[in-house]
Amino acid sequence: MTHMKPYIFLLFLFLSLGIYAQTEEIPYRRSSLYSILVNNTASEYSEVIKAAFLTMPLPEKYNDHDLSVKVIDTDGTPFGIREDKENRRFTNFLKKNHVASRLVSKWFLRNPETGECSLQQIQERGLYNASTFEREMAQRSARSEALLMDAGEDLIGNTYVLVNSIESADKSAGAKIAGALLGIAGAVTSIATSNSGFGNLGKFSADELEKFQKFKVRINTFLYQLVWDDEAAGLFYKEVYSDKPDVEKQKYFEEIRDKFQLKYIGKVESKAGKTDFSGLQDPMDMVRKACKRALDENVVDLAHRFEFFRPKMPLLSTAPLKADIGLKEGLTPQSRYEVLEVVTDENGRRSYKRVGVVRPKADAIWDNRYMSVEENAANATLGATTFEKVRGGDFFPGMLIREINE
Amino acid sequence: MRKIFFCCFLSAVLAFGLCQLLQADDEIPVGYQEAKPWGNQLLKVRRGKSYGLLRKSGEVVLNADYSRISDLNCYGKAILQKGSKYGVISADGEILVPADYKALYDFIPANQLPKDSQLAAYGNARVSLAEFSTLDTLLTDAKYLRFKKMSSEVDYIIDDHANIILKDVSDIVSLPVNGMMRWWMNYSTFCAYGYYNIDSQQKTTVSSTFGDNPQNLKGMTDFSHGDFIGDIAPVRGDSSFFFVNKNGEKVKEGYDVQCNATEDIWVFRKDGQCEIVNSQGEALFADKGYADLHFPPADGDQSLMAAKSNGKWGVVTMDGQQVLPFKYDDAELLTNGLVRVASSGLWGVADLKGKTLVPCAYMDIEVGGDVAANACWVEPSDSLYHIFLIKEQKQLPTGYVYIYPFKEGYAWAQPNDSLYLNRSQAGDERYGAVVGVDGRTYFSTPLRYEDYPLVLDFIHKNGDKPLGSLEGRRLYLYMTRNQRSYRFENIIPEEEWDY
Repeated sequence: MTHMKPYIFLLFLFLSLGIYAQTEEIPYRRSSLYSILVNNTASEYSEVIKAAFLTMPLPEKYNDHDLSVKVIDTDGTPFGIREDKENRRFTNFLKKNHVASRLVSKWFLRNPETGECSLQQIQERGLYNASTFEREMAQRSARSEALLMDAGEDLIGNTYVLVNSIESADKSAGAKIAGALLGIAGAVTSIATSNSGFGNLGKFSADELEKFQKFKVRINTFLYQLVWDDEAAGLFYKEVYSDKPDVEKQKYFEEIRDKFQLKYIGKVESKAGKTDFSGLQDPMDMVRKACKRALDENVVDLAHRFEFFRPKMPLLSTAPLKADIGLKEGLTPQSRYEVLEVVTDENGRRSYKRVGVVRPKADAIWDNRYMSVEENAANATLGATTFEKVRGGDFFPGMLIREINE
Repeated sequence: MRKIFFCCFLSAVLAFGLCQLLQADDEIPVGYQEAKPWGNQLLKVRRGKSYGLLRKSGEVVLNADYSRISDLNCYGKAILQKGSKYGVISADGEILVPADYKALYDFIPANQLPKDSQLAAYGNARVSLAEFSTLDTLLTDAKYLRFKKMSSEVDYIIDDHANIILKDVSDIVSLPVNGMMRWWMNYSTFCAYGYYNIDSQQKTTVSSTFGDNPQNLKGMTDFSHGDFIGDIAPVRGDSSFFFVNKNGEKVKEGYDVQCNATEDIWVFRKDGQCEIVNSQGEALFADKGYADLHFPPADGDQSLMAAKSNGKWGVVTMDGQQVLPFKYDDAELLTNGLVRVASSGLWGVADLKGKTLVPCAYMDIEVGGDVAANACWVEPSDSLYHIFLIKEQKQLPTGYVYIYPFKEGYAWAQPNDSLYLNRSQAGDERYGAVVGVDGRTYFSTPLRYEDYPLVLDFIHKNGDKPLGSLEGRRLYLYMTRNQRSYRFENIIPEEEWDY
């Protein structure tokens, strides 16, 4: 019996780890997003779309890197919005308002009044051990440089801007339900600000609710990436970064904002399909759901097209293989995901090494789309998608998965 | 010939069918060119230049015979117009007043009349003047309206179902109250005024200002005559006030000035002493010899009033029992059992037991409803408002230009600082900060009062700790993001960015 004790202990340990892996949230590095709405004020729906955009949750697999400017008004559908090329108007807006420099500022929590910066955001999002990180940075060693390079590549360089032009796609229903939608516009503003829910907007007749069911949107999303190369990083760390108030550095940054840039990557257009509003009585929920689903669809499309934009997500468990993704991320039975092991070198720099490939089980794909539970969608309550191994070695919780084209 | 006829017939059928299909897709009922929601229940439809109302099912509620159907007002009433005739319709399509009248006139609150028509003589009445007809949207609940018949120059007063309640009105009149309507007839150098009794249809003149002391309505600096409270109403005569009954007969007289009024009572002074005249015409407190009376606010203790006796103010109950002694130069009842009291021209605060909470040392005092906050605002000689801590009996040094009362331990206040003053001058709104009863600034980013509740909510959720200036600015930008939108053509100012 004595010789059995180690095995019993190990069994207990593995079981415990398994339980731990299934119940603890596993932190992982995410790309960062700043999302802007281009709002056609000539549209009857402009106020409700704006309210829906400002109150809908951000894509979960990305860090919130929003800035305070969220809505840009236009007096009609922006020219060239449906063409599959860079929209110069959008690009010029981002450039002349120095959006790239502001995204960089946010990474370093830069105080615009004093120039003081902090690495706290980087430490938190980079999942660096707080005390170790502080110590390394203070020492300014090769290791600290390596950590910053790691952060630059994996975090700052994975900062994106989404410029979304949202339009109603159903003209035939427009005139008839505009009155009802405009009727709620007055209350929408305060609701969006207070985040307190829909509030008392009065009752809608069955006929009017039926008309909301026809609401459809088309979203054109333009993707930009923050350029964080050696030149940008060097400029910032040498000439701008200061962990104390520094008037000269504060002023200098204002002069060199245009040295930081965004790069246009590409654009996609949502399909303007019909959204299932069953289970919803609140017209604002319907509008929000239609917008969110379409926006999620665009994010998935962009991730399909641009590999570097694809999120990496952790395996929550290995027996069975499960991950916190689903239909919202565009999962299908034909999807293939590489399993990545995070490798950290002696200086703390991370890299990712493929150790296998998995695919979702056809009957176990989680429907995690926005408000799928309310519409009683099948598999809405699974909580995660179950995968099966296609090839590779042993997998462990905490390993990451990322979609591949195969 | 047959072929031509057949082709024409076929074309007509096809065209009709196509129209049906198109109209079915557009969901405009057949036979109309336009359909828009009207209220929550109906559609306003247009056929040619005429309008009507349909239910959503297509059932006709009002034939398209009207040249205009106005938007519904907040009372669910709208104007019907047929040519040059007017009527009133409700939100469910019921015609309240047929479109038979040459003009309709609302009873408009006196303070909403054009500036040069707002006269002190009207007091706070809702009046109907023949020169202000209602052409666009009804302003009131249309419970009473004045109208002019097609063939007449005199007006009638109707209720909201077109029942005539008063005929042959040629004066300025006020909204019926307790079965009586005030009237005025203004002339260049004098005026006359009185009442219409709706029940008896009798018109009485209670006063006129021709004679020894002529003046017209515009010359009056006080109200001319009041609405009836119960069976009596006050009237301003040539040299004094008097009360009349519904027949226009004097029932009490000799009052030299009005002190106060509520919905149920009038307070007048006679021979230097106040009387409360209730709706039965009874004079209360006539024996007490009070020279003046102040009543509590609507949310204050209605069993008390401040009274002046022998030149000093105190607080008494409504049945004459003394609560605070008559030792103050002035007294005003507040909520929460507090009293603003004055001595030597300076204000302080006392409780109903006479304990001084704030000494009488200030030009003004603002006490909020939140007594537990232990703080109020005081205005010393620097003309700025300062926080006064009641338990500590201490005035804090920082002064504010504009303040709101403390509530839940916080208040919105505008510091005497160019950051806030310049911002306020630039627009037409005031910008301030959030101040705690401890005198600390909890949110220093210039903040409109309208946004104050949201910031207060955040402060509470943040553990009731002050926010730094940058943190506050970023919070404010985040909270107001839905109110801010920008144009592609413009460069967004730096203060609109959080980074």
